Amino acid sequence: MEPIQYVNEHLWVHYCGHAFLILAFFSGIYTLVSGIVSVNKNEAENSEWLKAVKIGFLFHVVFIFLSIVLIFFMMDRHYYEYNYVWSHVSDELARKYILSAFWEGQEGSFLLWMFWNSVLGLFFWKSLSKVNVAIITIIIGVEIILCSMILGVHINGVKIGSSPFVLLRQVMDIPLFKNAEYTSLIKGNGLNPLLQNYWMIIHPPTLFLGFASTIIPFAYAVSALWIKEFKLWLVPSLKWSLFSASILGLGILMGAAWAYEALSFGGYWAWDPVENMSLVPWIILIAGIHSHLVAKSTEYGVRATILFYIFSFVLVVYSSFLTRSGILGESSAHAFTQMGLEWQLLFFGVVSFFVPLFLYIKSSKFILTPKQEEKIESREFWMFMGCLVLLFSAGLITFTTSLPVYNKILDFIGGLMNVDLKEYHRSAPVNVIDHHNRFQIWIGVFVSLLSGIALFLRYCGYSLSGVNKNFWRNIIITLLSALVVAIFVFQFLNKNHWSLFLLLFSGIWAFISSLVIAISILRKNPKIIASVMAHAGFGLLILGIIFSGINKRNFQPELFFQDVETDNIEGPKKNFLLIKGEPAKLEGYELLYTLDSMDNKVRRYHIQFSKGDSTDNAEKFVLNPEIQYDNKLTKVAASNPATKHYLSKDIFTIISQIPKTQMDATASAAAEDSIDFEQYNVSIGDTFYTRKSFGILKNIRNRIDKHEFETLNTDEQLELDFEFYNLDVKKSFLASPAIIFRENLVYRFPDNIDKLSMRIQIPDTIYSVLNFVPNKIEKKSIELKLNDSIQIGDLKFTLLNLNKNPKAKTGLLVDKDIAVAADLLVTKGGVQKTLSPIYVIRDNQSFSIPDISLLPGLSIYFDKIDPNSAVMTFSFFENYTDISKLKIPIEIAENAPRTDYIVMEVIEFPGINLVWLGSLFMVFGLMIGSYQRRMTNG
Amino acid sequence: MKLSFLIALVFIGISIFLLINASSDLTSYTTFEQARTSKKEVKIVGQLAKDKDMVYNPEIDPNHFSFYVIDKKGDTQKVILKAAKPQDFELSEQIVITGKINGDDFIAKDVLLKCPSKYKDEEVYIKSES
Repeated sequence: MEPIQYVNEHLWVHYCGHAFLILAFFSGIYTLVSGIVSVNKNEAENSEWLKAVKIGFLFHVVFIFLSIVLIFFMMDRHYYEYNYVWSHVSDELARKYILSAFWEGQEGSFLLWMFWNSVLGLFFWKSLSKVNVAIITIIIGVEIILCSMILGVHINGVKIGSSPFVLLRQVMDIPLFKNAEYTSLIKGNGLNPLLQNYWMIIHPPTLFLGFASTIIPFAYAVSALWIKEFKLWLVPSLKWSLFSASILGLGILMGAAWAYEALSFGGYWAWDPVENMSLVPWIILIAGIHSHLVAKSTEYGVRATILFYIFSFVLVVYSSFLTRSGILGESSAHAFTQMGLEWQLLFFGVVSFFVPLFLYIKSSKFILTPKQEEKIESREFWMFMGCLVLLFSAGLITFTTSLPVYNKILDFIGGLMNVDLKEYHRSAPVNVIDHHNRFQIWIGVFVSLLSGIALFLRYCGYSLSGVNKNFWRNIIITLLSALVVAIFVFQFLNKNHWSLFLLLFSGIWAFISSLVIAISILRKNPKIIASVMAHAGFGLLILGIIFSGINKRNFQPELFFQDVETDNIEGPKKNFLLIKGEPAKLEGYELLYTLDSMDNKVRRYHIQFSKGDSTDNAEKFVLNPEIQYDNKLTKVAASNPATKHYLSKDIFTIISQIPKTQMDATASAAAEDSIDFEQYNVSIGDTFYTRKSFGILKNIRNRIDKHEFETLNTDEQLELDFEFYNLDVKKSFLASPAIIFRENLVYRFPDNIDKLSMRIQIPDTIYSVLNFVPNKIEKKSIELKLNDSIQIGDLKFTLLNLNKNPKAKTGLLVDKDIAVAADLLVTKGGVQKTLSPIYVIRDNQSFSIPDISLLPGLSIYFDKIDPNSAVMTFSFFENYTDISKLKIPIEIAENAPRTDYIVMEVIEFPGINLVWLGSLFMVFGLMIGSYQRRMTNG
Repeated sequence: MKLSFLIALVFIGISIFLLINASSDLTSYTTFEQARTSKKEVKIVGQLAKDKDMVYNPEIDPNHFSFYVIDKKGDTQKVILKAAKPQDFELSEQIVITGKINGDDFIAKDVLLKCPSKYKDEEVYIKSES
């Protein structure tokens, strides 16, 4: 078969992109080899190998940047022939979300990671001391592995990496690609609507900078082992560890805030595997920073610091293995494997773990350790204890989160032994949140207590005692005051368990002890502000977690009538029904769902909360939770919560259910099918009986007012006003169904009376009822020039425009016709309508295709054009029909489901601001610490 | 004996204890049959019985949703979730329910759905709790 010559493809992007990635890969290898040789040979500066490192790294960075620019370029230009563009971008996507679209995919996020590695590497590339060469070498080693993930080459049939520059037709085999001009036919898929918010712009780059920057402490630690220089690296590296911990912390915090604010998890932390695996490297990094501080001030802790920093990076790699390989997708179905990168990711993990391990085994015996142990009364002793507790925390979280890995290993072993070990598979804990909380509560207690103790102690060398003269006084005073505060605060908790009291007490103590240190030492040593802030923040975070977690509660509706118990199951009723226009009582609030409106792909609800009767202290606010539809508007994609923030608490609302007809297109159609309509023929002013009510057709209007719908002047519009009275409810209701005929299309606007489960619509057949044969005897003629007006009786005609390419109903015009349409604005009373009769010359014969209006009843013909005077002749008939005698067909159903309700949840989160405040304190404490040490250059 | 040795020993002891404790939470998936006999809280993997009735009528009770699940042994059981009906419930390919048997019904505490995503070839999880 002859290969198809595709047109309009931008293949240069494909070739350039591949070239950039391959060049980035090989310049990486070149740098790696040069770096290894340079470090091992212990070369002086300016040697050939050093130059090679200098140039090689620069080339690598340039090619990575070029690849990124190229991807942005093709996304911005909507080159849908590329799989990556097609998968993540669409024409409707706002330009600001191109960034989000870039890192939505795995390839983009790998590049983001490499981008940060490159930027970080440049700081060390500036001056290539021996340590810096070692660091660049380690960074480039990781870069090579990351680069291989997006290389997209096949060697002996083995695919290495998944390239972002792959064409759509290379990954898909569909008949579309038999068309040489397929590029004009494809449209992008677009960004998942859930990800179209500002968090998706700021969260991933921050988190990835956090992940990427763990490589710096890692590289320092590994380089220490490599060049066997164990003490000097401790000075320049500390600012980087603090930087990394602050950015990673900030990234995790942003994720938590996103989950809380925009997603429907109903909380900021759910112990989800993806969340856990971003937290664990951070915890280990924090442990590393503490042992690092000890190692800087005393003789102890060098080995521990090296190990912690190595683990922290290895855990980042492990985390990306878990989240990217698809192993977290339930045991049976392999959901995420389409990338085919599992083995490469596994290789990444193995290399980043075993290479440092090998170096550690080789070199650690050279690390000098003091003969004497740490003293109990020294700060370092308690800091190490804290590090061990953090290690426990990280270990336990990882242990549980790794469950799918154990199942995988079982399968692997089973595969080797040819037995099915599936029955030994374990499942995640029945209650994951309880499971983690049960352990982490103790971590919180110990870390808080240890941080308090350690702050009051001093580092000591061999002889000095770490206890200063006010130690016991400080300890006792702070403990007592923490106890008093804890006892007081404890009463406000909804759950009273002694372990909670302990956590509360220790959190308060951590906070108070930080304050005392701040007051007593800050003047003498302003640098301590960083540590004080971070520790105080930890205390506040603990308090926030307790309050928002324990006192979190769903608002329960007050029932007006005896609730019908459908079963005997206890438990809180989280969700409640809110009917449009009907106030509901909820924990002292009166809730009123006033209206909802569609804007783009979002349905916005207005829920009014009011409290208190007197106008003085009345509280009133409106929340707008939203329902977001997918890009094609066919179904609900997400429910976006809305939150009212107070200083002491948040009131969080989320919609859990909406009527089926608004949920998705198919359900709506199915719901429509299940409705039984009955036809009635009614005259204006007549009373008619339906099954359960009686109604009157009060008015027929030819202008509809449906604010969600844009009408045209040429539309044939009809709206009927009904009043229904129901004997059971003893109330009357108004309904106004409408219909629009536009060219060959019909738009129907049924109306609902939800209280009566009634749905009223106008059938298409109304057209033929109103479109009666005109009374031709009364034909009247008018002559008009362009822009002229003429008044005949109560009708006014204005010739607005002449159209030389008129459109007529199919079949009425043929190709060789010469046709001109006149746009005539007809005004009768207050009603305006544009009619367009057509003048046609066909085979030397002229005739007119008339335009007909139902209301006002009118048929108009375009009879003649006088080319000399530019006068046009029209003729029209008025349809004098007694509208009151017409039998108007309508369809009424009385089993229609309600369309005017929502099911929602309202949750109160007390103390949530303590969570944010505490976390921000920790992040800023770390940042300040890093900033204070900025001058100690490496 | 050196203090550090003692501490190490204590920590190793604690960690063994904690790990054993933690792993006891890692239960195995069970079947409805086992759930009926044990009456304990369990986790069951299964599929939605799409031919059976799914009842959610928020006008009567917005916290009552009932459906049928077929477990891995092919056993069909009525399940009640005391919460709103999760989104995309009908599309679920696999369903993980946590809860226990109460009378004739399985009362689910939470439901984890695995649904095909429209946007990617990945799958998404939807969780809902009662």
